[in-house]
Amino acid sequence: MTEPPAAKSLYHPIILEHDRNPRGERPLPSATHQAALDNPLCGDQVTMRLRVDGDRIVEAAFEARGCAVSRAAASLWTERLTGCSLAEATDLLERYARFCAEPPEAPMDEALGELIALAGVRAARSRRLCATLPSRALEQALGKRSS
Amino acid sequence: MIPEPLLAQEHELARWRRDVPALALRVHDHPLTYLDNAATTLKPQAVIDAVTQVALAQAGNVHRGVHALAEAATEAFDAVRPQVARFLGASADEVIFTSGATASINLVAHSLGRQVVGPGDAIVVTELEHHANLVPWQLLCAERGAELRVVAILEDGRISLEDLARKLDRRVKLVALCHLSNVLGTVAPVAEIAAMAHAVGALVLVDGAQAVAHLAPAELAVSRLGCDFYVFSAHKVFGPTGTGVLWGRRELLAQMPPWQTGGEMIASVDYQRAQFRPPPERFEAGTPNISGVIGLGAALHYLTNLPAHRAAHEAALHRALCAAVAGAPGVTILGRPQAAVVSFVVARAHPHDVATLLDQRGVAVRAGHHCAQPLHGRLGVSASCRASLAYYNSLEDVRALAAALSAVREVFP
Repeated sequence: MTEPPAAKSLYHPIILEHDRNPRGERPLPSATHQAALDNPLCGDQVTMRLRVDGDRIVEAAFEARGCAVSRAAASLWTERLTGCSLAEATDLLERYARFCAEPPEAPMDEALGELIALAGVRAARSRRLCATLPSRALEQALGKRSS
Repeated sequence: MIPEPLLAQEHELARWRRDVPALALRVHDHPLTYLDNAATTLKPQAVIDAVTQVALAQAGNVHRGVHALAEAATEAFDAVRPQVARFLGASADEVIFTSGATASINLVAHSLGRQVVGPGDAIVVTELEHHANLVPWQLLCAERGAELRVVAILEDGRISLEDLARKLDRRVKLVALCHLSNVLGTVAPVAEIAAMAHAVGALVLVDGAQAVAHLAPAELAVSRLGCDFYVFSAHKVFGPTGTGVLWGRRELLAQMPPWQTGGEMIASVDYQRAQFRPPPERFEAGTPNISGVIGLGAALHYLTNLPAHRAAHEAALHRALCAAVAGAPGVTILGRPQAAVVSFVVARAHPHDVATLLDQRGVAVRAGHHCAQPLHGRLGVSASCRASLAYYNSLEDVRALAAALSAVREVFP
């Protein structure tokens, strides 16, 4: 590999691994919450689906047509949210939105777990929309139950 | 046999490049390789100086004041209209300044469009069109109860003249098409299309946004193109953003109502009604983008004083660019580009990821649907990467892109 450091950090091995072997990329017919979002810049689309039982997210899945960054983010979120309470999920989504908007040198929010592999977008402003497409879809999904 | 056009001599190209200070930038610790000229072109120092001069010594408003700064601004501003007219082989009173090609098209749609398009009429566009030359016509057709007909392209990206012939009849009031496709790099045979359109009584608007920086002056002469309207943006021809041009045939402009109204465009006003000035002022309400227009003048002056072989240099470079991109691992070119741009997809790598990895090597390209989402749908891809040239690009730029594309493979094997 002859990647310069900055590219290495945007395409962290965790990102590339989740892009190649995404977790939770499947339909979820039993979803109780879902939302689809487009990235108007590139026409990419992600659909995030959750199955919530009582107060807990018991299953999370996604379908996406998009770049490595948005697909990896979607995959990481399905892992991170499975088993979370709704309050925890909301808190994580808020932390992640802050995390992506912070300058590159800002400290990592360890509560986000492997999602901090997406830290490279803090130095690549134009890619924040990719990195936050799944989480913005999740915010919408949690704001409304699927019909 | 036509002699093979040659690339510019090294010392000459070095001079052209020195004139454009942004080309000396370093990006992520690499020399800048700027191949996003279809999005916007970099500015020669002469343009930067002209814009700066407006802010200093020509800081007055135009066509209003009698003081020195206003007169200096007015003089410099007014000199650009005949200059644009010469650039297009037209008359100065046919040149309208707008905020860009998009505003120029919207002006025609709102003014002439509402005048000539009625229920049951039709407007014809092509599958190639940028959103700016599509959405205004969609809205006009919806408002007027008219039909929007879309002419198909051939596999290589050229407009199907057979399909155009099928879609032309007496109901068609206007044909709107791009001169040079911003995605596929194909050049429309405008004169032929205009003749076909005129034969059924339709007018022709040409979106020249991509063409003006690349085609030779003879290819931009509106009299030879035979169109009725020609639009372009200053920033795609080495000028500032926020400024554009609408050229229209005098007799059409004379009959068109104003679109936006206000100061500058009126002959006289009382509290109940207003009399409008003749074109071009009728279509230029409010204080114009003074430094933008003067910057455009400087850009056209610079461009038209470059030697004529800058077009041959760019054409030769375009062939080298297409060959280099086609030879990169996993790359497929969209259509068969004829000039200035080449769009492509890389197997197993999303265009945004490709563009980010290229940027890390200082190579600037565009990724996305390039404001031509329906065309990408037609081509069966959601997005693509696009490399686009200007006369100041070099063979080194092409080599840097090729090397960076090979490196994409390492991240997305």
